[in-house]
Amino acid sequence: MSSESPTTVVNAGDLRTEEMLLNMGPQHPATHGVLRVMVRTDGELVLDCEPHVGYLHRCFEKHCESVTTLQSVLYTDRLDYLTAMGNNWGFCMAVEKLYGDELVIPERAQYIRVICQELNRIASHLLAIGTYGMDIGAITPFLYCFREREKILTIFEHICGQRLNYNYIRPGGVAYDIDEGMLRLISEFCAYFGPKVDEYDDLLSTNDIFVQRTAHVGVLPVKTAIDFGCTGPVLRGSGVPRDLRKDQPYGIYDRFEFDVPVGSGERGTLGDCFDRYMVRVREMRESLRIVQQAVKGIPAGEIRSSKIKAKIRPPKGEAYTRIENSRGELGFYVVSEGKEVLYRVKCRAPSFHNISVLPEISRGAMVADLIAIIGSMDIVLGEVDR
Amino acid sequence: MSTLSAWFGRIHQSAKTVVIGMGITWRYMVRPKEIITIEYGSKNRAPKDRYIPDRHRGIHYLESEKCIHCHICEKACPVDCIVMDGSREPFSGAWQGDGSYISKFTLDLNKCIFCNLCCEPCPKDCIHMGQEFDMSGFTRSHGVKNLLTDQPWSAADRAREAEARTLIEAAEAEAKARKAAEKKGA
Amino acid sequence: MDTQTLVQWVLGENPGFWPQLIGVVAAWALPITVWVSLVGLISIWLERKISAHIQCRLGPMEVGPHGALQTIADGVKLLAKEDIIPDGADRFLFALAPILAFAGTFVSFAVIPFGPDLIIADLDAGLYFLAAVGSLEAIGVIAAGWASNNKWSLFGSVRAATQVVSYEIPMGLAFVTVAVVAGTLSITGIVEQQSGMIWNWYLFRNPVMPIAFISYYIASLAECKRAPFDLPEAESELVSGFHTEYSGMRFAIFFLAEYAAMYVVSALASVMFLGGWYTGIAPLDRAVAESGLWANALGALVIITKSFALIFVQMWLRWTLPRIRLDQMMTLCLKVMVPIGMFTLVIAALWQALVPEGAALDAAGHPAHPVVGSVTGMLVFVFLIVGGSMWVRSTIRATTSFKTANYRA
Repeated sequence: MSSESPTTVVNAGDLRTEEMLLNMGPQHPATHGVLRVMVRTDGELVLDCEPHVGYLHRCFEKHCESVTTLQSVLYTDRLDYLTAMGNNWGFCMAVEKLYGDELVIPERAQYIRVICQELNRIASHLLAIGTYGMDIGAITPFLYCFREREKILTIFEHICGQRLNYNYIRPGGVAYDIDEGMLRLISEFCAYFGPKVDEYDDLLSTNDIFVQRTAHVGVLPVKTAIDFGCTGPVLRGSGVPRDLRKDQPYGIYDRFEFDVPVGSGERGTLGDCFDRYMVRVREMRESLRIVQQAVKGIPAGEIRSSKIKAKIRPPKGEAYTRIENSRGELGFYVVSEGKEVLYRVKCRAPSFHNISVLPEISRGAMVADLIAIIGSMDIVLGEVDR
Repeated sequence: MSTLSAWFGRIHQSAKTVVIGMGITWRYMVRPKEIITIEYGSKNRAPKDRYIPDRHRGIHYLESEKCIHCHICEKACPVDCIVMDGSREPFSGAWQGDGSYISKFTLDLNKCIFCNLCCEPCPKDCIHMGQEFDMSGFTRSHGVKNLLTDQPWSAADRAREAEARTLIEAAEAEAKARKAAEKKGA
Repeated sequence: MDTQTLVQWVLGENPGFWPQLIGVVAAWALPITVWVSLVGLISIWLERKISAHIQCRLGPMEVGPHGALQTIADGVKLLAKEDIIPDGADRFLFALAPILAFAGTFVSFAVIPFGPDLIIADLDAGLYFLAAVGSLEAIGVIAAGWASNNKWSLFGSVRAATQVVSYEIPMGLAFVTVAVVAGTLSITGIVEQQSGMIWNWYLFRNPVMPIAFISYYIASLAECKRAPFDLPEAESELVSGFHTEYSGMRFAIFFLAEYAAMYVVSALASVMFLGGWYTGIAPLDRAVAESGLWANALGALVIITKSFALIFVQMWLRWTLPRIRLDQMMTLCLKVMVPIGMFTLVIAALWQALVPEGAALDAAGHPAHPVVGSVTGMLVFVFLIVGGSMWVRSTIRATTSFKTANYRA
């Protein structure tokens, strides 16, 4: 009996009609990476879901215990590979904090850091919006967002030579200087980009079908968001106006004028997918404002502090810093023993906390809505798994 | 009556947003100047002028006549993909550096992560990252580049390396003996 | 020349039952196969080029001039692929499903006209035949999802079943509206009543016919499972929906069936609403009406152009709009399209009964006056074209993206 092929005749009593266990496997077009979600459904209705992570674990923290501090910077690139500048900056800020108050980052380096971080935020949000549109079914905005992203990546290629893993922001400043041609490219991009955001609004944000798919879906209450430690657009979409660039300004962010967009339930409930999406669209405009102000005000000067030598040997101690990355609050905790190799590095990744709230908000949604919810969280598995 | 007007309002709203969306896509469809594809691999439609920025981190190249064989790039590499061998003493078949004689300088592009940490600390500024980005080949050994000849590492190179090792050891032993003799003589 | 005479010419006077049957079937099947392959070839290339130009890129450019032969290369590649049947799949149903899906579309071509004499079977109930045979595709889709032994494919086929079966209702209501206005179910009968100037077309016949046309068009999008109704084959959710497990030639048959179905519904729309093989320029139609060859050649050109224009709009919509969720799609069907369909049916029937069109049509049903034709048609034509374009223009110009758009020259 066991050697025969499985029969396709089923007894009526064997047919179970209550629940189906569905595996949205690590390989799936809509999970934004290698995320596995075990979904228990009743037909199309999701009863419960359980995200399984770890498929992209690459031992970042262990690597940092065996390579030098300067070499660790490029490992941070690969955490949240879509906002590599932010990761670099966070780590470098933690290392610089070990040096204490005597270390002064030159002004020009601070301005360059802000320009690169905000351009990278725009690029990251463009990708988030584009892939979100694609998850919902509109394929064209994805291509339009990538067309704009291409310009930003070309700017980065001019500045540091790479398009995705920059290894540009170093402890003490930045690696290379930017010249007039690059600043001109950035100004041209700023002039070019504003109308494109209007286009995304007309093509996607006001589209009735898109609004119907995302409004009232995946509502994240404020208390749940704070309990799970959600940060970034996920928290701001629920109405909490928390942005580390305003609340705990680092670098020179206190010199720039910009608003912090907050979700308001304009087309649905407060804290739904549409709110999180609109927060990202508005943040792109605010980042554009910051870049324009920075390009106008950038002074001449050095790009690296002379206190940090070529062989970076941070003083003994421990430090924790956090920055506002595109996905939320990225934190780095470093422990140094005075040697070139750090003793311990720990990274607090925003996407890890954002994705842990998935089971809470997707009960009672349909499978199509589950895709919309995962897309609106905007996770990057490189950061979730480290 | 309000539900009826809401029903009509919804239909009007949907129709309006559909028409607006179609307008945007139509305006891009009829503008061929908006096409941003660069057919860089095409035989007759590839762009003639350079479109790759200066600082692009492509495949490395070495100006071997400036190299002082200090091993700084080898130590700076986070994934240990540079291997070099040479000596301060001349031996036959060596590449001439700046006061050094190099027998082997390979970079394993299969491991390289293009981080530029090898080029920055070079004291003589002789290793650079170029504009080439195509390293496709049929074997894994094609990815190991011999920076002295700008070719993939071949079997002939491996034979020469083994031979050079013995030559280096002989030359260094001879130099050591000569120096010891000079010191004894002085 | 119809198929009977053709077959007798080839096989001789009295060939017997079985040779005659096989001959007739071959005479039907060969032209349709050639035409379906051609339609698939052109449609796939058109889709790739249209989507490319919408997305500011080039599309296929290597194989043939501007990628014209790309589809042939893809077809050869699909033929050469390994035939994989998943473990645990129902082998018979798995193999049968694409054939079922294709058969429904294939048979519909028997009543699609290409010219006044170029129709394989001029049935008296052609419209009814199409409505019946078109639902065969749904069985193929459901069988594909079930036989794949894959929960995601099952999802896709359940969604497809719901969608295709539900949207048969608005489609059928549009059919009945046209039948009420035409007074006949025969395809050639419906087209012949639209001869003359462009405002004789059924689209302008009475004020609710444009609404019926739009309702039919949306229902046909749902029948072909095209965006915004492509939930059964939702690329980002279900990997590929009901045809996830299919590869190689089996997948090619599904693909071909989808594009052939697009042609069938577009040709049907042009027959029912857009005048069929008549150009809409009465002097031109009258000039070619005598010679059978020129009438058929012009008619074929006209009906193919109209069908491909509608296919172009289908593709344009696919690359603009997001996907509608299953329950929203059902709401749209049952709460919006069915009431609208019934409304147009009642108004069209009342209009036929009450409004004296007799002055405009002669006893045979052809327009009495060659130029004026239908007076209401003229009014609706002017209102639709002028009013419609004004509304579209003002809507688009009011948007922010239009005002701030910065295109390259």
